[in-house]
Amino acid sequence: MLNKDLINHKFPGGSFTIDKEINNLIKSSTGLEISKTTSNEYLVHPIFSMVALNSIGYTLEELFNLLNYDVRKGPMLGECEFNLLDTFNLDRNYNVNGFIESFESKVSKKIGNFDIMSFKLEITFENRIVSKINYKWILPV
Amino acid sequence: MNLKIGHKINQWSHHVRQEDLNSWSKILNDPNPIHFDANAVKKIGQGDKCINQGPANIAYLINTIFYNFPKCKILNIKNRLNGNVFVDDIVTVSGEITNISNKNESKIISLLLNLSTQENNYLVVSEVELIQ
Repeated sequence: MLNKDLINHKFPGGSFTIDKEINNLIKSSTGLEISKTTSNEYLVHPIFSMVALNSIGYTLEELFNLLNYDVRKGPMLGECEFNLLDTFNLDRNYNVNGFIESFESKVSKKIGNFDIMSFKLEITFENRIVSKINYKWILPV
Repeated sequence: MNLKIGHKINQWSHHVRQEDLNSWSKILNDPNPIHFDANAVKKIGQGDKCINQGPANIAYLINTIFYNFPKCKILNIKNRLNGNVFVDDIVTVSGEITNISNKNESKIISLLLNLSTQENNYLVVSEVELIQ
């Protein structure tokens, strides 16, 4: 049984630093030229908004364990929205914090009964928000 | 580029290779075997090819934005994930301008993007707002 008492539960939080090697790996593995994009500026990929999920203080497996949810049921990422208030830069230390916002029970013809878990993350640098991310995970019952 | 509502942006494509999935497992510190072991995918009844990581799919959409608007700043992206991308798929991102407004000397441009493969359409649908 999904532990829905965890609404407003705050993640332990964590931090990450973007180095050139990992940024280049993202570029090369998604078909971008490493040296530049189509502009002359070196791009730190905005997808670090999602990579930050690594740094909430739990692994996904630990999060699902906390929720008392069996990952063998096949949790799926349903939606991800991010608001970028600033660009990412190399060699800065970004902090990540977040909390579980809600659970919603639904039924679909395709997967039957499921819950939607919504959680929010904030990525900050020196107390300034760089990105706000809203996740919705589909958790088949 | 012709900045008009309804204008279709240039498509962007990428061939998804197993080495890409291996890289993303490292980037995300993700031990899930569905990304590197086809047998793990078979066990969960999702086919017989390794499944691409969701953030990689979102990265393709972002690449498409910069391909079309190289000097833009992305403000917001809302992504709805409807299905999986598999290894060896050819991913294509297409889209169109849905709104344009002015802010000081800049333009705020809204886009609707669609990530498809040779097999499926609308695997990821994204609403984007950027400034340039």
